[in-house]
Amino acid sequence: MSEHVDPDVLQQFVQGALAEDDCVEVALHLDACHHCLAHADRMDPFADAFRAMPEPRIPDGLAQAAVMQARQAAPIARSDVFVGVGLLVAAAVLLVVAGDPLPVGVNLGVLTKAAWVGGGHVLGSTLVLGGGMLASTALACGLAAFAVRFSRSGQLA
Amino acid sequence: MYTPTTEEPLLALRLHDGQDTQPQQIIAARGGDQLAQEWIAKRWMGPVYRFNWRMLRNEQDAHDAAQDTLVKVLRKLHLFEDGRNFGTWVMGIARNTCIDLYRKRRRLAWEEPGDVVDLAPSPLQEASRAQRAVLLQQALDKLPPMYREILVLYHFEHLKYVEIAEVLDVPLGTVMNRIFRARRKLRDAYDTVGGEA
Ligand SMILES: [Zn+2]
Repeated sequence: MSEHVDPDVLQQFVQGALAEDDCVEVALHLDACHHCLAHADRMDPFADAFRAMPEPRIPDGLAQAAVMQARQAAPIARSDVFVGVGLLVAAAVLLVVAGDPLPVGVNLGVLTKAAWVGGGHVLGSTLVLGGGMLASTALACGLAAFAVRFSRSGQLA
Repeated sequence: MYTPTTEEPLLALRLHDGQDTQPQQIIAARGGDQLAQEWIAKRWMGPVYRFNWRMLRNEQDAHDAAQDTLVKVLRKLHLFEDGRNFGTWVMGIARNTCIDLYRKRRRLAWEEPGDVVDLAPSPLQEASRAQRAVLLQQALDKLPPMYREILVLYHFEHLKYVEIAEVLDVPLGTVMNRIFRARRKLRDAYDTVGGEA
């Protein structure tokens, strides 16, 4: 640090009287220069009172408790449960109405969603995968029924 | 960012103490190494707890927010971009957790004044250092959190200005504007509670 901040400029900085660009320049200098930082600190009427303020006591075992909690299985995200249940319902509906071409589009949407949330938590993932598998079965049934119906209608024509 | 002790000279305040989290520790903790996770939790619990304690002004809330922050830090380690400042990343998570809890508890925006009890002014012509500290705490409590947090990060956690910009995720110019506005508000609040800066 070859050149320090001029004391008058520093005084203006502490009082908040500098233009923004100059402020940023001084701030960057203070971040790197202890000499000027100490000087600015002496100009600050509150600096000493800040240092005199009490420190809280960090509760014993809090860090350990955080580690233990973090190491437990992460709680299941509500959204994953909702998506999984939704997929199961969708699959059930599709299985019931399999044969109608409409479910094909729905099925594709359902499968996309299943793939998207596939990386979620255990129960959520199970629901999603289960729902996805049922949905894909329904999709296959739907396609098969559609093919059969199409071939039949072709024969009739 | 570290806790200065009373024996340490002022000039050492903003010197980082060489205990910054090492990339190997982050990698080990990410991989599930319990010792590395404990090291990270112990290293950062102090700054995180103090920040929450000073912002929420309630021990139970500070406890909950600090634990929650470190749980998030450990679970989100895979999201930390190597080469970034780990400390400001942790403090950013602490701040977001604190804001969530603050809003939940007080149903207030971070930008609005807090609902701290208006303490009776104690006019003191020659306040001692300790008395000035008490008055300063009262004045700080009166500031909206968005101003209080910047003073807490600067004066208590001794973050550099560029580090504060990283934690708040705003440009350095915004930090400077906000810190000067915070200081003006602090001075006004200090006068109101009966102090003389
Ligand atoms: Zn300098």
